[in-house]
Amino acid sequence: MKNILWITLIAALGAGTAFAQNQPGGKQSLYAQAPAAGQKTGKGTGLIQRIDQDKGAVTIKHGPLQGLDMPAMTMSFPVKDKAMLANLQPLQKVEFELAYDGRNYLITKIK
Amino acid sequence: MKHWSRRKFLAALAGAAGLGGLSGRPNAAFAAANAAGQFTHRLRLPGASGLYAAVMAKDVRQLTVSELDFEVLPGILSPFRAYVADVGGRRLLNPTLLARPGDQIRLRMVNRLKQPTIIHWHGLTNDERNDGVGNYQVGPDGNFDYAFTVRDRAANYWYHPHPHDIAGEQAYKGLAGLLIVKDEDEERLSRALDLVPGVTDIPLVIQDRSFNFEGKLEYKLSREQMFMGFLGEEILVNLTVRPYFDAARRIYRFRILNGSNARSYRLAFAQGNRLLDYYLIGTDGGLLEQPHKLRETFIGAAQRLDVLLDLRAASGNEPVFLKSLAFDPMHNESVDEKTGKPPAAAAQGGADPHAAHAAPGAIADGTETPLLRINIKSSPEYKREIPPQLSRVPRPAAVAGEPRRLRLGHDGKGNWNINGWRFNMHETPVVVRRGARETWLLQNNRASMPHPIHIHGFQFRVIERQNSPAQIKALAGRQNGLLPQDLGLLDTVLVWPGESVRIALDFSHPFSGDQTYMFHCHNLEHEDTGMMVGYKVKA
Repeated sequence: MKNILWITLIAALGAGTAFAQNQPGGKQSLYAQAPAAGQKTGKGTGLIQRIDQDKGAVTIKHGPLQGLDMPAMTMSFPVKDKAMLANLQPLQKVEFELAYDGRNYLITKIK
Repeated sequence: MKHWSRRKFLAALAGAAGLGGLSGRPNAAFAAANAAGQFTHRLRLPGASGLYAAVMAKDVRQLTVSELDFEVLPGILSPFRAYVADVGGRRLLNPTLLARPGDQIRLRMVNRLKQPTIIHWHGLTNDERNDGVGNYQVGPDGNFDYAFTVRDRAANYWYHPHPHDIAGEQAYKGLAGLLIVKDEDEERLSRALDLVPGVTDIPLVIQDRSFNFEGKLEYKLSREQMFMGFLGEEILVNLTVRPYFDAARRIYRFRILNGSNARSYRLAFAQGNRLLDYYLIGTDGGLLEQPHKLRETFIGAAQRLDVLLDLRAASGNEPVFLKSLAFDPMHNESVDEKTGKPPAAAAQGGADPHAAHAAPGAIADGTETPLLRINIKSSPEYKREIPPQLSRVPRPAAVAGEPRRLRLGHDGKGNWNINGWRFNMHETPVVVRRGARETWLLQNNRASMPHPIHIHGFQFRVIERQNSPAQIKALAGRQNGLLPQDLGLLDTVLVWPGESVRIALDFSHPFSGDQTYMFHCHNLEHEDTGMMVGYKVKA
């Protein structure tokens, strides 16, 4: 039980961090930058929980993320381009790829 | 996990998420608004075959309790369990069994699960063997033959698993179906309103479910969830996630079953912010005498409500939503029993002592949630009116004298009980005489949560509610604190914390010899963990 609670807490903190990219001051231009040295990429499978068109983000209940050493959890991620959200629906199963620059996650592909 | 630490955790979660500028879960208003636009899946309705297909019960020779793959979420096969019947070349899953009073039902249950099971005919007056409980469960590849006569009024009964300790898991994974008994009163109503089964006379089975990251059904319980009952992340209707159906501007009949393991709903039909009137016409045990106009009512796990909705009262073509309104779920298990106040630790922590039990990701109990979108389409003029008289309901068999008292509570160590008793299949601490009339007083502790109490073997009438919480009193009529659904026959009654519900039972039945039945909380996690008592009807 404790493990589940802590994972959720970490997920919520992570979601906040991920979303911070899209907050005023977070600057969309971050996404256009070349991958920073040491940037990691990963991929995973998950079930869409929520889509936030305004913030350009999607909440996914995902399995372990390959390449990022992240266990299964539910987390909100910004997407590289809001247009990527157009054909997504809640409770749709998706495969996605994401980048991690040491601070923030960004979905680069989702289908 | 102790409650204070859960609250601390929830407070920490809210605080942490707030720091990040985003809640881990959206607030209720956001969730409802967000979800309202996403009801894009056509409601599953009983068809000629497949899920819920209707068939005369007397034509079913075998129900095979099966493990199979089923698309609960569109396009994603999930492990699933279903009662499978092959009838006349049709394969039916969880068939809607149809019967008339007096019908003989003779069928074999074949267990193809890897664990024991048994079918309980919920609401029917059967002898103990045909009632179907854990004492008669059969193991993998075992068979059980049922043979009984339908002795009860026309009503919406249902059937579901009732093995020892694992009923919740089996029901959750798919095993549940309706048994609809019809009679002349039913047919008169159908003719009066021009109702067609599956088109304008529609069963709505409401169940909450969670899915894993692959979109497969998931039933994982923490110790806390075993104590509180399972709450899912999505609320499905007829196993359809975020459903809609297209309706004409006319009267619809909805036969509603709360098939959830633990969740209660406060049901209303809403068009925008306006609640529409609807009419309660029946309960667990069949039609009321007259239709009763409502705007909202509660439904606990295992209960049925039979309602009419007149969509001519809807304005314009804005969709109507069947929804569960917000309510206090009264998870008051940690309050002081004498004062009803929260314990000092919780008060100091500043957390809401009535906070809903909230597993990560689950829709918190009592959250306002849309369940079904009803799109109003243009249609020919419809001029039928609801008949003022529906049926005759047997009078309560009230008796003078002290009632039999049954107190619902927990031991402070995570175990629910009734009068301190926990289920033992070899014990029947309650013994009644066949043919006796008794009054039972179901008294729920203040330090408790709502309990839907189901009595096997006999239907009953509620004759009084005492000390009901404000949200229940607000819906009660003038007489004895009774709710509209208390005007009908019941087999399950929802008893709120601090509330006492007086019920009248008539233990007359035609079965010779002693008969042993159960009564229990139909929060299936409570049932599975022992909030169940055997009782004997002595011949």
